[in-house]
Amino acid sequence: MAGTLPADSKSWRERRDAGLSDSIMRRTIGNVTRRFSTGQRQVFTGYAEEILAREAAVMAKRHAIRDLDILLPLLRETVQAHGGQTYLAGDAKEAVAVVVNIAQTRGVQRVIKTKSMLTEEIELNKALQAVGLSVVETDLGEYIIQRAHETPSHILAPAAHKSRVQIETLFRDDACERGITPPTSDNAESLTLYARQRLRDEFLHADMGITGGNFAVAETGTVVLITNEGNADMVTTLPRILVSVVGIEKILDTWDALGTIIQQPAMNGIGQRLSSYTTFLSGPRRDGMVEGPDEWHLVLVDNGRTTLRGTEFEDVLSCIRCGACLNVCPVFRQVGGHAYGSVYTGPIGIVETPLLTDWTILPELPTVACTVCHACGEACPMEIDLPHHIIQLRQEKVRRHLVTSGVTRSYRWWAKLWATPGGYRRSLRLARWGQRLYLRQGKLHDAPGIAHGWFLSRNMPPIASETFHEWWLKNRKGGSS
Amino acid sequence: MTSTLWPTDTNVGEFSWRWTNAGGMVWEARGREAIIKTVEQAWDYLVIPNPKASSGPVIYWVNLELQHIDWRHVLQQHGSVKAWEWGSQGDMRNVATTAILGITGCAWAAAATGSVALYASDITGLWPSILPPAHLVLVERHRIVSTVAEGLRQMTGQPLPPLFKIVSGPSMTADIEGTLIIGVHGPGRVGAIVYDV
Repeated sequence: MAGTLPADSKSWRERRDAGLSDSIMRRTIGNVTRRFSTGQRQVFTGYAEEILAREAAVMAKRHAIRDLDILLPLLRETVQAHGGQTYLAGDAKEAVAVVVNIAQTRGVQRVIKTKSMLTEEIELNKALQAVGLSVVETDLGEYIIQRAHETPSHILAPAAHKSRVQIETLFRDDACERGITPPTSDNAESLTLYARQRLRDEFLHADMGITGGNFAVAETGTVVLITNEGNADMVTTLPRILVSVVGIEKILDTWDALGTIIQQPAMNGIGQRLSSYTTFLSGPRRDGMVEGPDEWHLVLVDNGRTTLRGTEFEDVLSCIRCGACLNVCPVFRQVGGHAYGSVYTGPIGIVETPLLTDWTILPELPTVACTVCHACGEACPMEIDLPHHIIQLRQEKVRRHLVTSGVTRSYRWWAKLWATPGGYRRSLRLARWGQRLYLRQGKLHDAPGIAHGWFLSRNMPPIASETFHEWWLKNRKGGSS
Repeated sequence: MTSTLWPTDTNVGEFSWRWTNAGGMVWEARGREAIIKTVEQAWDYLVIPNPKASSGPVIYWVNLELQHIDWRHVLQQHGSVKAWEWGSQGDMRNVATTAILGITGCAWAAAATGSVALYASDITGLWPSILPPAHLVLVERHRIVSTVAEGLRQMTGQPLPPLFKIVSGPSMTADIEGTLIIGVHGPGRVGAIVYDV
């Protein structure tokens, strides 16, 4: 069954142009992505153990996806054996209904969350707020965009598009609403200090914590969370109810497999050997303990993931959300995350968005947001063949008649002409004749049909009055081809 | 980095280098008296810069081999208003929230990542490592293994604690224009004393 994802209703052209004209976002995304991708290259230098571990991690993820039918029941069994409760949600609607029901039946009023792409995917905050609950994101970047009513622009740096001045305004408004002291200035230290104090109050008064999960180990019934801020440590230990919403593709079979993969998100995402905090959750609070929740609920979410199993796209389910593919993508670096219109952005978003939703949203992504430079394929630690998948999706798009007939006809005509040397020569003669309409001061300024887009931001030299082929035919010895 | 006290122990050297590189501070101590003296140095680094240094308690738990030390006495000598041992009274949450320093032992540490592993139980807590603005971890040097994977392997064959964590540096964020800020939710100052009794 296909899943559902939220989508921006604006056209690609509007989203793209908004991204290209947002100088703050472009500067910050440029800095962040360059730092992260440089960090990824440097952290593996001379670290042979983790190069080998990465290879083992790829195998572990592939096996786990293949054995999902066995591992899902095993994970549920081990979690339940430790006193946790588990749920399997087929789609976003089911997952949301489970979490809302847990909150309502337990008298929850205040909810705190860790960063989770899956909860963005299922629009959990909106559903919880609709039933009157207060929901606060505790990752600083997520908190900023929640205040701004926006979506993340980068998997690991969700507020990378916001400037300090914009953040200060958001925090001042927040302080005014709550009658508390606002940040003292717009420097990053003051803004972070404000968030620390503001969110500490939320941590201490929340009834329910919601987390995602980087990994879920079937053998031990453990959910693993990785943060640099430490907010997951508070969300998992302070509220009385804890809900972990985890995609079924996050399952690993064994504890040993976890050992091979645990450093990979930080190494490939931000260039650190390990994030500051890695939090392991294997059950609710036990007798004699004072930390941890009274109840732990694990909601495992499918939402279109099983439709990828057994297909040529199965490796996509190995994604560890490190963001390495975003950091090296030249399109992402220019337009930023919001231009994609999906929760999942960059190369992995181009592939996942149509696959998880059976092409019901944003079918333009594989065509418009990739230059097929293959940088993402080289950067992906899980060896997901993203460039190949994007090309496959372009082919699938044509098969599904999701490309306009004008574009399809243009490419067919082009392909037919260039299939033979004679056709190629005829096309050049035709273009040389036609280009006169678009020539100004010795440059081509526009072209008809599908070529028009190339000239939106650049001019091109005209087709030579005599090409090398033509010169060769005239001048080579014997004078004939 | 090479260890001063144990120059042939590569795990100690590697752990110290990685922990320091991540923004923490490391001290080494051999024997009871040296450990107590080193806590004083750690206090100067972790607590004194805090403008509220004289106003809050310290919350602590230590590993078995250090339990013979009268920690309350030691900490109050250094300037702690009050020192609470984990589990000694009911409202540990409130104590940890108001504490100016959390002191913990650790189950194991990993050299290659400069990490320490802490388990939640009735006698060992996680809040002292996350709620106060500074965290001091006491690491018995033989507990330092090479890698996180090795540390995790040690945990097999016994029931896992319902909660445990690996700490590899201070709480930090770069969410505002990519500027690195230390101490967003958890401690901004972290220190480790590697010891041998």
